[in-house]
Order: sequence, then structure tokens, then C-alpha cells
Amino acid sequence: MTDPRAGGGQGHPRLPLADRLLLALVRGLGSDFVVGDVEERYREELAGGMALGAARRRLRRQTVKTVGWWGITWRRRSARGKGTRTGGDGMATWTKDVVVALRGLARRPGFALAVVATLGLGIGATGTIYSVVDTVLLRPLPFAEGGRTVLVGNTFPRRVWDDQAADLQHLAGVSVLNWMEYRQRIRAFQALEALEPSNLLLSDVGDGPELASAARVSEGVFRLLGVTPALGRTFLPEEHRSGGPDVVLVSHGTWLRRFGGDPEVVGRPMDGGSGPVVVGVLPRGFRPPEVVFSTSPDFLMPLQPDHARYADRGRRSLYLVGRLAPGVELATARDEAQAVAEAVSEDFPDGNVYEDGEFLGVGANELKNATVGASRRLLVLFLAASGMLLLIAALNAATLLLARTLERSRELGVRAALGAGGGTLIRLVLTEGVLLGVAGGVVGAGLAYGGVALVHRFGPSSIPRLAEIAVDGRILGVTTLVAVATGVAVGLVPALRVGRTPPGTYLQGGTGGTASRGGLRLRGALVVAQVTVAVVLLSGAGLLLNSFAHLRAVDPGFDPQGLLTLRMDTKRPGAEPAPAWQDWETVVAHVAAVPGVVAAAGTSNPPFQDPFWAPWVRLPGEGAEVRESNAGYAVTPGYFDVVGTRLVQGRAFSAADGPDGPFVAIVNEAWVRQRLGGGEVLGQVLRFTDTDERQVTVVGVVEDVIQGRAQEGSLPAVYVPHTQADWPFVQVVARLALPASVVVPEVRKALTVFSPYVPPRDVRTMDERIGATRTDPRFQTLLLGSFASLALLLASAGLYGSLSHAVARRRRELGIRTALGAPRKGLLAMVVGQGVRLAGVGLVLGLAGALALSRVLESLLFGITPRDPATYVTVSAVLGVVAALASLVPARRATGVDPVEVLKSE
Amino acid sequence: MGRALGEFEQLILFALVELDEDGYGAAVGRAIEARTGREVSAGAVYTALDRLEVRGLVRSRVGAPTPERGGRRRKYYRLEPEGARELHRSVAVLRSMSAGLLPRLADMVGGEGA
Repeated sequence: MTDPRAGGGQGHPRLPLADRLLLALVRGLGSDFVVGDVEERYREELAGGMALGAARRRLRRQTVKTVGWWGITWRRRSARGKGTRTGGDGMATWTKDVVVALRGLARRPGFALAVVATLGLGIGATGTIYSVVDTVLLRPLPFAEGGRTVLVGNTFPRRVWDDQAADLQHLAGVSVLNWMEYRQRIRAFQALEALEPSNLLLSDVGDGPELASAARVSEGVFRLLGVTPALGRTFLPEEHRSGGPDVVLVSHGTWLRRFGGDPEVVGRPMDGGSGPVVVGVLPRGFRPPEVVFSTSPDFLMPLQPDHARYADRGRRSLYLVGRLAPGVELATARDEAQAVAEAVSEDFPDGNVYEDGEFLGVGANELKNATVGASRRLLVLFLAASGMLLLIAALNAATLLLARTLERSRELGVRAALGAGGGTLIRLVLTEGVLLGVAGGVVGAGLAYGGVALVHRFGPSSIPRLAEIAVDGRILGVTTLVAVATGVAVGLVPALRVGRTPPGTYLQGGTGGTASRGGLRLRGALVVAQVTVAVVLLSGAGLLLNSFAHLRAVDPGFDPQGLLTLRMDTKRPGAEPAPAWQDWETVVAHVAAVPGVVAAAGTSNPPFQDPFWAPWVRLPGEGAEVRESNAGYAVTPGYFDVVGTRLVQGRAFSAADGPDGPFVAIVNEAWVRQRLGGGEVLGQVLRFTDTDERQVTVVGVVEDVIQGRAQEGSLPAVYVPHTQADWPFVQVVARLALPASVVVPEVRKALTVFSPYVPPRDVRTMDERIGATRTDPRFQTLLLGSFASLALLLASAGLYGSLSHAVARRRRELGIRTALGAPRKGLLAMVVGQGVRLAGVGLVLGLAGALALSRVLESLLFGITPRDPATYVTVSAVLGVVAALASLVPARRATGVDPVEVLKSE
Repeated sequence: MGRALGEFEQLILFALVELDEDGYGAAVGRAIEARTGREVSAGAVYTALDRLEVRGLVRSRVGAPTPERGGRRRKYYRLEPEGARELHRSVAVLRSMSAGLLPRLADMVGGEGA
């Protein structure tokens, strides 16, 4: 290495901005010697032939380390007292800086409040969304070895699912007999355990019978998931055999709610002695994999694989959870599982092999991926949106700080003239920035807590792991870091300006000069940047809002007003077994007889609920190769009248369509379009392959009705008479003449006559049902909409502030213009024009950015394209109006300048 | 007399021995890097020098501004007699403790020369 003093001052490349910022930071900390050292070594390394990149990396590392050192040793050194200081050039001045900065801020409470609120808003939004993202996407699942845990299930041949994550396979349930084969044969899984959603009927509770949610689990589930009961024990081997003792484990929440947290419950039978024995209580916070159970079951029961009901391989009721064996990759496991599936199908073709010779496969997904996969894009989108809001907030705060620095130029000039070094001034401004950043961080953390509470309350259940979401220390750490980084970044902008300007400038009159013109240009750029980002957010929110309006405007194909729906199981303990269709009629008759009910009908599926039955429908001549799955409904004769669906052709069902045929069906218009290309439909013969091969004749056509959600459009559907299907439950739709709140208790009472022990489920008005299908788009629109509104507010505040400032600076010029007879209108137009120009540049940039980014919204949109011109026109109009309003106030102030006063103050 | 010198302090004091009158932060860092290959940050050097000055082992003076560092001053440090004694003593302690043991230590770390 060369002599340090031989390097000379000339010929060195100018330091990049980032590095100058870093050095300014060190200088701000008051250590001139250290900066000198760092810079000297940097130049020397370059002179000595070190690559520029390497030298810069070293410089950065050095600077960061140095700043870190000061931070660590600051307390220690300041605690040692000032007596040991060798100069005025150390950390002891920090406290003084803080006091001075606080005093300065206290003199301008409005300014401080505005900056803290702005930063807090951005940080709060980012903190909230980051909390959600952190929990859902980053944190491992709350199970032992969550990363190696996989969800395993059957896959159907020749079906291609368009899943969002390429890694996901669509998995179906598995039969018990197949599970036992897979478990034995697939080596790639160290463990493969089963869970089966179930119910538990409890009769002796205060408000009548209750059907509690439950799950049957295989013996190894507890070890696989790493769960030990908070009280009692897990299940014993003999309890997993058919005819074994009737036992349950209780979830922690149910234990508190139903048993008042009484530890004595363990070992006792429920239901006054007749029910299963409680053998244990699950730990607080435990819930089985939520991809299997959307709501956590209240009870766990032992799976008894040898029970007679599992003898059918077609009964695919199990969800499998496995652990990859050490060293095995997911792809390897998938290959092996698929090979085993083929072998099992060969050995046991019944229920495993289709008529065309294809067999049931086995697939596996990482459990975490299966849980959160579909929501990843959405959450990343929200995070990006909150980041944009934070960006606007930071830009806005920078604008405010910059304005303050320029306003204070006289004060700073005086300080400089009295001997304060550039470092001291920079330090002062920087301290202010850090203080404001920290205060903003505290406010932001508070807002993040509130925001997470709101997400809990209003977040759609489609956000996976919703219950786990919480603000924790790490998130507060990140928010604080963001806050301080913002504070420092915001502080550096003005700090560098002061540091670069010769002190004399500040004393030569505060109202003019080159420095302020540069400041105005910088502020203009900041305003344009804010408007740009705001326009991007506004466009996104506008697209979602517009799409939501389209969604609401879809004709549902029936009249949802005043419609009540409920679901009733026809299986009743202790009742004479009857054909299901007779029970349907009894239930419907009970509901129809309730005062306030105009008419009632039964269906297997009301609208706005994904169809339970999706038979393959074949036309004559079509063979096994046609796997056209259509929505299937069983309905009672009055159904279409009650819900208000129009019959387009042919006839509706009648009491004459009995269980013994002739077999008839009604199809919807979409079915006619898709399957027959609009041809003659009445008299068309169909077969439903999953029931039997009987010939079904089409007797009518109805208009299209929304099936699961309005987004999915009109899908083909077939309806059959309830007498010709065999459904174990009926969903009643009832047209009400009185409010639901009046009718529902009466309906419940009437149904106890039918079934005293099993209550109706899912008692909801159709409006509630529709609302539930819209929570996702509503939440997305609400979230992005509120971000966009805040962004617009901040950007317009920035515009307003910038123009006010410009007008204040030009008071003298404006006064002279007025004195020389400039028209009021002209001055007004001049200032408004300036604001509109700034907003216009931001609008153009923002629209370009929004168009470029809009593709990411495509999958969330309904009825419009991401380039929907109406949305962008509306956004431009909204922005134009807001910009004009924000400019108008300062413009009026400009015209009100009194020339006499201005000249007097000279 | 204070507590025993730490390893980093020893390195710094040795660097001052080498640099004599030219011991300012960057030079000290350079000297340590040249001999040990260890990268040290300017902040760490100054913190340690500061501490050593409090203990009376080194003394500082502020030099004239120099052009190759953007007109910034240097802070020079010189070893005080007390510092020299302390460094000598600390090395002597290490030397007497390690006497005769280095070959065995070398065996233990796998044959690397002591």
C-alpha cells in the first residue's frame, strides 16, 4: 500500500450519493476524525489499485460498523462523564442535541404533529400488513417440524387444475383401506396419519340439542403434530378399535366454554353420563391443520379403521398428513406415492379404477403451501400497497422537514456565523429527523395494533391462519427500524442541503437567493413523486371498486329479497326410517305452515353455495371419455316459484314426478348453450353417471342462477325432482312476509316437531348468504380503497403545503405585481396552474405506472379488464379536482397579498 | 494500574509502537490489518484509543487539516511510558504462561505452526 499522504487530492472519482449519505451520517454523529480516516483509506485503496466496487463495499462496511460502534459505546461513554473528554467532539453532545431538537419541535407543535401523524400512518399501515404477511407467509406452521409436514391425498386422473401456485396439486380425500395400504408401502413418508371431519351430537345442553364439530384422528396424529394434552391423555390403542370405549378429547376453547375450565371433567362421561368419556383437554392454541378444518373442531375422537363404515374404498373421507422421511425431497415422495397408488389400484381395483381403466393417484403438497398458497399473491399485493403508502408518507414528511429547514435558514445561518460547524448543524437537523421518526414509529406501532384488531374483526375467513395473526416483538422491531430509517432518510435531505450551503447565503436575506429556488425545485419533485404513487394506488383501488360494482350488478337469476334458507338433516335419532324425499316434504310443510312464511320449498343446494352434487352428465352416444361435470340440484316442485327463477321452456316439476319415474330433469340456459349449442332441448335424454344409468328426459329449461359466487359466471346446471334423488338433508328456502328476526324463532319451534334433537343448521337469510360470498372482494376493495384515500389525502396535503410555501416565499413579488395592477384572476390562475402542472406530471407518471402494474390485479377483477378506461378517466378526474382544490386556498392567499404591507416590511 | 489489557488493546498499542509519531486512527487500522489480516472499523479503533487515553496509557493531539482527507483533521495518538510498561508486562505474562507449551498446542490444533 502507498504512503497515505502521497495519494493527493486530485483524480479521485466522486463518491456515489449513497456513500456520501453514509459519511454525512458519521459526520452528523460528530466524529470528524473518524470520517477523515474512513475517507482517507477509501481514496488510498483506490489509488493502490483496489477495484472500485471492492473499495466501495469496504467503505460501506466500515461506515456501518463505525456507526454501530458509536451507538454501542455511546451510553458507556456518556455515563463516564464529560471530564474525560479531550475535545468537544464526541457523543456527550448527543443529549444536548436531543434537548435542542425537542425544544425546537415544541415551538412548532403543528409541524411536529403533522410529521409524526404522517409517518405514523404509513408505518401503521405497513406494520399491520406486515403482521399479516409475517404470520401467514413467513412463520412456520405451529406444528412440530412444520416445514417437513405434507398434506397427502388422492388425485383424479386427467384433471388439470389451474392452481395459482404451480407447486400445488389438487388433493381429494382418501379411503381408510387405501390409507392403510399407502401407509405401509410409501417409504418416503416417515409417518402418514389420518384425520376425518365429523360431528358429535350432544343432547343435554341448556339451549336444546347441539351438533358439535368434531374430528376422528388416527393414533399417531398427536406425535406427528407434536401435541400433548394440557390435561389427561391422548387415545389408547384399544380406543382405536371398533367397539372400543367411547372417548373424546376436548379443545381448550370448548373446555372453557362448555365445562367452565373444570379440571375434574377429565375421566367423566358427558351428557349426564350417557355421552362419551372425556379423556383429555387439548392445549390452548392448538388447532388441527386448517386446510383440512376451516373451523377448528370442538372434539377429537379416535378413528377406528376397522369400523364397518370404512369397508368401502369409494368412501374417501380421510385427509392425510405426513412427514417426509429424513433426506427425502417432496418431488421424490410424490413420484413414489404415485407409483404406490398405481400398485394399490392394481391390487384393489374396486373403487380405485375408473371404467376407462384410469386409476386414482396420490399427490402431496407441503402443508404450509397448501394452507397459504392461494393467498400469497394477494398478501404480497397488500404489502406492496402499504409500502407505497409508507413511501408517500416519507416523501410527505420530507417535504415538511425541507420546508422547515428552509424557513429556518436564517436561524441556521446565525448559528453557522457564530461558529457552529457544518457537522453541528447537520447533526441538529438529523436529530430532529430521528426523533420524529421514532415518534412516528411509536404512533405507527399503536396503529398497527389497532389495524391487526380490525383485520381479526373484518378480515375474510379466506385469509389463512387468521386466528394466529398478532403483532409481536419482531414486527415492532421492524416497524421501529422502518421508522428510524425513514427519520434518518428524511433528516438527511435537508441536512445535506445545509451542509453544502455556505453560511453567508442564509444571512443575505431569507426570501430570495439560489438556495430557495433549488429548494422549490426539490419540493416540486417530492410533490410529483407523491402524486405519482397516489395515482398508482388510486387506480388499483378504482379497478377493484369498479369490479365490485360489476359483481353486485350481476343478475342472480332469482329474487334474493325476503328469502330465508336453512338446512335440516333428515336422519333423526329414534325415528322410523322413511325415504328421504318423504322427510323433505315433511320438513318443507312444517316451515310453510309458520305464520309469516308465504311459501317454502326444498333443494339440495340454495343459490350462492357451491353445489354439493356435481354429476357427470352424458348425452346418448357419449362414452366414458366424456367427463362433463355439471352442477346438480334436487328440488321440490314449488322451488322455482318460491325463489323466483323464470321457467324459459317446457314445464316445472310437479307432484306427478314420482320416485319410480318416468325420470325427468330441468336444465338451465347455460347448459343448453354449452352442451347442445342452443339446439332443441325438450325431450333430450341424459344419463348421470355417478348415480345409475337410468334414462332421464329433459322437460324444461330455467334461466341461469348464480351457483357458488357471482364471479364464476353462469355454469351449466341440471335439476331433478327431489323424489328421484336421495339426499340425507334438505335445504329449505322460504319466502317471508315478515322480518326474518320474527319468523326464525317460530321456524325453529316448528322444526322441533320434526326432530326434537337435531336442530336446523345454517339458518340465514339469502342476503347474508350473498354477503358472505362477497367478503373477499369487499375486504380487498376496502383495504386498497382506504390506502388510496390516505394516499390521496397525503399527496394533496403535500401539494397544498408546497404551494402555500411557494406563495409565502413570493409574497414580495406578488405584492409588487398587485401594486403594478396585475389582475386578481391572473394571479389566481398562475398559482392554480402551478399546482395543476405539478399534479399533471404526477398524474401522467402515475397512470403509466398503474397501467404497467395493473396486470397483477387481473385475477381479482370481475367484469372489467385491468386497462378499463372508465376507471382511469375517473381517477384522473378525481385527482384533477383534488389538485385544483388543494391549489385554490394558497392561490386565494396569493391574491390577498397587500402590496403596502409587503413594501413596508422591506 | 487498571485491569489487564485486552487483545484488541494490545494490537492497538503495538501499532502505536510501530507508528511512533504517526499513530492516527487510519494508520493504526492499517497497521493492524497489515500484520493480522483482520479488518477493523475506525469506530472500534477510536473507542479503544479513547479508553486507553482515559487510563493514561496513550496521549492524543489534534493535527493540522490535511488535503487528502477533504480538509479534515487527524487525531494523533502516542504511547505514554505507562502504556509501554503495561504492554510489555502484558506480553511478558503471556510469554511466561506459554513457555514450552506452544509445540503441544500446535499438535492440538492439527500441526499448524506455532
